[in-house]
Amino acid sequence: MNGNDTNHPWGGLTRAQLDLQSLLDHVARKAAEQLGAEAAVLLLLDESRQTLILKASVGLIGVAVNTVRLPKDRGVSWKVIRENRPVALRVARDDPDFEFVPLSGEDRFTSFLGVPVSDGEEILGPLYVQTAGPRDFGEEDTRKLAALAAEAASAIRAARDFDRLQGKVRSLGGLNAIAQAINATNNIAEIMRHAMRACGELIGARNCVLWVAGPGGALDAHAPESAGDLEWMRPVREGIARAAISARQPVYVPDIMRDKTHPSLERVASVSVLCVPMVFEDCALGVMLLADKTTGAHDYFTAFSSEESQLAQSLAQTLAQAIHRAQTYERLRVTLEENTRNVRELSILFELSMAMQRTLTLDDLLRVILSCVTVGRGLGFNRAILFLINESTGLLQGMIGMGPDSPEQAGQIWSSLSSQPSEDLVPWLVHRDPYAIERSQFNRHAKSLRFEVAGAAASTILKRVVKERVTVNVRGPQDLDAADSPLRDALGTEWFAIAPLVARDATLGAIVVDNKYNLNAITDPDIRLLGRFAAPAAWAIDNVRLFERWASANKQLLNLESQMARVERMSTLGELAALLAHEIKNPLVSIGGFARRLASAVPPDSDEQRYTRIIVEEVERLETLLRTALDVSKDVELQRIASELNPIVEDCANFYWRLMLERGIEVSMRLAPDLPKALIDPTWIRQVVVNLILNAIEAMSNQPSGQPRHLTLETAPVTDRGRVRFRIADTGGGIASDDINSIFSPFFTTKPEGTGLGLSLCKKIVRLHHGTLEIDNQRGVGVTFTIELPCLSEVRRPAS
Amino acid sequence: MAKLKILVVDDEEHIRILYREELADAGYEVETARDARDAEKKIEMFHPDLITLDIRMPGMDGIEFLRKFREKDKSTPVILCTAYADYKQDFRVWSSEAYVIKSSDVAPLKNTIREVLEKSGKLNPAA
Repeated sequence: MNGNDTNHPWGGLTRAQLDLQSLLDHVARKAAEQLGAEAAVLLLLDESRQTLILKASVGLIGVAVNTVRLPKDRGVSWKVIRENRPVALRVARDDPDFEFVPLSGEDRFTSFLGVPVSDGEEILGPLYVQTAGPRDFGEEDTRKLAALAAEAASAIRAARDFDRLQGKVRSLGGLNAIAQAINATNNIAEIMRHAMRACGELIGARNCVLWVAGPGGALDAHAPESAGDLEWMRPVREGIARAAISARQPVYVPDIMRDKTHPSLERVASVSVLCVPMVFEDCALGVMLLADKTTGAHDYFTAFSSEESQLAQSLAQTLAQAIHRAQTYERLRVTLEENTRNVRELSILFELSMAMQRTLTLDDLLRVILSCVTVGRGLGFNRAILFLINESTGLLQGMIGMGPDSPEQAGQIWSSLSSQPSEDLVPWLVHRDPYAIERSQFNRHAKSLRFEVAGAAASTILKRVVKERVTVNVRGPQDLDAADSPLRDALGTEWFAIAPLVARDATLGAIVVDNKYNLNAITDPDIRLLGRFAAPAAWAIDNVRLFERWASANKQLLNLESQMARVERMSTLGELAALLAHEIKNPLVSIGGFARRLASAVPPDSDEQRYTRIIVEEVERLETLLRTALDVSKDVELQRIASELNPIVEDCANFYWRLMLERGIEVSMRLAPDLPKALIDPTWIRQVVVNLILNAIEAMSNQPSGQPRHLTLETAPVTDRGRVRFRIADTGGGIASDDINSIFSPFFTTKPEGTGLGLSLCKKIVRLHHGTLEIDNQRGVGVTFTIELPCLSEVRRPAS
Repeated sequence: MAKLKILVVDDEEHIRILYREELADAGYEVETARDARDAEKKIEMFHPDLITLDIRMPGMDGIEFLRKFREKDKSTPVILCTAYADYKQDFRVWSSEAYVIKSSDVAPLKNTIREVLEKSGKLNPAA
């Protein structure tokens, strides 16, 4: 089509084709000469064999080659073809088939001699001569004309063979060029434009429509763009085009007037329609419809030849491959784009998760989360607040806020972007200065925020976020209602987004973000990334909370464990000591007891008496030691519970009531009626009270008779110190000043049978209760012990 | 006047001998038992005026024996003797008349016995 003939390898033959016309002209001239006729005409059937076209003439007026066309069975020329024999007419107009060739001046002629021009296989057309007057044509005339017809036939055949060859070459070249153009692009619209051009220039179709099969089998008209999805085209699309696609085969209707298999073809064509599917790997990717082959310079429409049909199929095949390639490319491009975005998001999420996993306290974690949300390489929002639902109040409570306090500060931060991480995000996120964040005005504001999430007054948006667990993007006042006003006022903007923090099927809280300073719109990809980020963040919060609970439980367990080990060790020691005491004590009793008996039996001042006394004394020493060891081995383990002190004092006093009565001791008890409960171990406090009562009884028992024997027991609250007081006063004459400093030392005793452990043990027990024991010694009168013990409320403070 | 009878219950043979001789010297008629079961038999036969009872014994211990004995006999005084003071705060010992910590010095025991017997009216204080 664009070939320069002189450059064509077969260019030499083109002259032969040009010679055809002169040869045919020559044949016409020779026919007129040799037969002595005024006119000679050569007509040839067109490809459809429906029309005769004038190819050469002598003697006709005003006619030109290729312009005169004789429709089928019109005139005697068609009779020659139909009967395939010479037709000689003395007066042509007498023949019933006669018709003038219009505007040819043919009406001047009378006689007619025509012979078929045949190449031996088929008739190509008629060659005829005419004379002005009537003439009887003889056998010699017919022979001469037939010889000329044979000459013309061979020339035509040769030329046509060449034409076909050249047409094929041209088509192939054109197809090649089109294919190159088509293959140079992955744009389907551009491919379709090339295809349209090929249909017109290469195949010679008057009209061309191209459809591409969309997903689900819909046919999208792609070319010409203006054809679009015109409604009037629909029957054609769903008729012949659909049929071609279903069959994966071309559907050809050479004569749409006769063949009505497919509907509405007259809407696109006058003569014929060729529909070729674009099939690639048994998959119909589209369909190409060609309407009417244009022939000649005039709009004369015919059917498509088999060559053109072949060409159309080749073109369709090329198109199918191109469409497949373009679609594959498009899919790859979209996938690649998505992947690139996903990879970026994933790498952000990964780094953020790493940062979150490296923090084990809730405060640190919340700081890292909001750093992730606000840092440019993270989610890059201007400001963010993290809320958690307070488990006791049920309110959404601001935990931390991160962002500039003012536009000026925002400007400063962004102008010093070098302070943000360039390489490794994780260490930066983890080690960011917590105090700078803590001190910011915005953080303090965030921490003061409390929102209800249930009930009529609660914000509609927060309800949605917390209940329905959806991420909400608020884009202006139209997205807010009256109930959202407190939220809007707190943020100071009507453009923000909220994502819920959900872990283990519970909403833990929410993250609120905005771009208050750079005013960037929050896009759908932003929202998606925020949602994706909120999920691991929520899990991290949940984990840290669990970890903190676990660590505290673990600490308690460890304490308990050491306590239990100690208790176990002590009780084992205690049992062992008791066992040893029993096993050793009894022999000592025997040894000492018999030694005493011996001492009374041997003469006084004898050596035996002296030796026996040594035995007795040593046994006494051993017995004292044993008793001491036994008491010391009992380590005090308190089990403090809230207890009434008064009943303990009463019980102990009642226990020794008879003893005191016997010893003439008067007892007065002043117990405060509404004494607060003390946090004490009742068993041990009972021991203390008993010890002190016994001490007092013994001290007073040793008094010379006649002295007053009076024991005072009293309890009272010590309101200002959150304590209760127990006081015991005797009239036992007090403690000698030499002894006063050592009465609390273990093993000190003034009593012959005492163990010396009573007071020291009392002091130890009271001290373990975080209480105090004071002694007021009045020589010659008596001793007052004052004990103060903590109440329930006081011990709530951490024990020192 | 017939001697007052004391039953000494103790699993230690030497203690039983010591107490028997000391208390006999003090003018009592003394019987001994080595454990709770032995003590039950001796009480049946001997009808003691007072019992000294070791707490820690193989088989039934002194406190458990005291609880069972008190179900049948509420009057006969019992003095608990033990090697150590732990039981002083045990309320189950309250049904005994006295509580004595064993010692090679038998004098406190003898004093306690005399006090208890005087209190129960079995011994004249003047004696």
